Amino acid sequence: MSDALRYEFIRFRSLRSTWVLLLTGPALQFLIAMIWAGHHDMTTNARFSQSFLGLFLVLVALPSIAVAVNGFGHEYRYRTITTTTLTLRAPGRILGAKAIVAGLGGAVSGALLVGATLLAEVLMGSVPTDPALVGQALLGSILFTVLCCLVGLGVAQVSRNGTIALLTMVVFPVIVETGLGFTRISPSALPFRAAEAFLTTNRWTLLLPLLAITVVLLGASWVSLRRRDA
Amino acid sequence: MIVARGLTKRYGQVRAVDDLSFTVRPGVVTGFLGPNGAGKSTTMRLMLGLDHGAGRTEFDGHSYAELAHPAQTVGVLLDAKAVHPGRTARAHLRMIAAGAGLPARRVEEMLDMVGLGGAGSRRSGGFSLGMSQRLGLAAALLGNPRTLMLDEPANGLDPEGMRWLRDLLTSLAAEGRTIFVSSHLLNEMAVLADALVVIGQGTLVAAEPTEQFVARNSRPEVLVRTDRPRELAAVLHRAGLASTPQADGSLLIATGDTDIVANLAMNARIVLRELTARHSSLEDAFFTATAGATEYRGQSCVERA
Repeated sequence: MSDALRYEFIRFRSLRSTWVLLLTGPALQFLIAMIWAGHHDMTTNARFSQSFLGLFLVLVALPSIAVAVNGFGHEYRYRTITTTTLTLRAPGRILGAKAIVAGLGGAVSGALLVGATLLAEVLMGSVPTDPALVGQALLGSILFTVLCCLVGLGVAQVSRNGTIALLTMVVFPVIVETGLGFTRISPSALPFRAAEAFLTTNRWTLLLPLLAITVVLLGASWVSLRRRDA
Repeated sequence: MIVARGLTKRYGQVRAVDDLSFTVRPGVVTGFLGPNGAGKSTTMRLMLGLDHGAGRTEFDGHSYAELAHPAQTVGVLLDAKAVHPGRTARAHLRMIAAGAGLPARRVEEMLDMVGLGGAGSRRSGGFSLGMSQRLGLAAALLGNPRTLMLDEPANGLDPEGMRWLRDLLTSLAAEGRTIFVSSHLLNEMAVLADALVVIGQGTLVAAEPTEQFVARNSRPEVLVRTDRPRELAAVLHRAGLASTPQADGSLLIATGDTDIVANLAMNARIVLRELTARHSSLEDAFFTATAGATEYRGQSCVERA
């Protein structure tokens, strides 16, 4: 597995687009946080929390999701899946290495989102005073981006198409879940919306719908890698 | 040694590869020939377990999935352009070396070996097909494997590159390695391959030494030129030899014996200006052998007219 991880890590870091995308999310988050930091009618803690609410979180996480999607999207687009399969062979090893590296990328990106928000607050002359609030946002941001990255990776494998996967990762949380929000379905049952809420609410159950989707898609990816031609 | 047994691949009702069995021996270059759509690439993918189907292929007694160190046993080049265009040649090879547990120094050695030492830092998207082939060969040779499987490695190579590839594969075979190479370039194969596996529409047409294949699928012919072709044709006909007049006035006679033709002409007091025994090329033999197994055939200019 260590060789598979080294393979995947070199694949991940040897593309300029990886670094550009990973830094784009925090840069966008910094701009959003700067806008909220200018709302002096609100408390510092409220401004900090507002920076992570709504659809903006999906949008700032999207570049790191794109990196994860490319984990399989590029493999099929450029037909490099043949080289990967011949080198790493076992479907579990291929998927495991990609999931770990995509998850780590998501975790770093999630942490950077919080870091960018704090930097914006500091530059505007204030810092959130509640460590629990910052800690919850950090944990929530990391888990949200990690799970989103893994879902994106799974969709890319099952569809064998990075564009479809990325569109899914935009359309489902932004359009489908917004539409479902107008129905009687509980927001805590909407995977992305519930996971977003975990950034400001310490309720672990909020992560379960997105976690369930992640497990299903990674399982489907493993089956697909085993049964379909490379 | 490669031993393939009962390779079969279906796409719905269509059998792309149909119960294909053959052996590829070490120490020689074995060419893998077949018309377009014959199933060469599918066969290679089946052999490596990339496609799911029936049959088994053993590399020195083990299937690819069973190999402890596959990169050190089988080097593979299936699609030279299957490289991320944004990744440098060096990073591409380092990635494969890392995944195969090979030392990083092999990357520089292979880049130098295939003549890409100065292009290691260039992104592969800017490579010509010939350069991509060299990169693919470098990847296949990274683990110093005992067996090489190459799908159309000569495509896009310039004449110098062709000669380099030929010398490389010949020297690797001379070291006792097993070299299995598919190609559409029949003239190149005639020079390079000591043995052939020929398939048509997914079935085995021949698996034998190149000379034997050419001899078995050749028709001996003698070409003669004379000022009296009709009279010579009649003489030959009476002697039981079929002849075919050619557009340039020469006659093509269905025999390999020039002495018989010369004697018949002399007895009939017909002067010959040329008498040549024609040897079939690999190309001729290939077309003869696969005549009934060509799925995609273009219309000739004569037919269109």
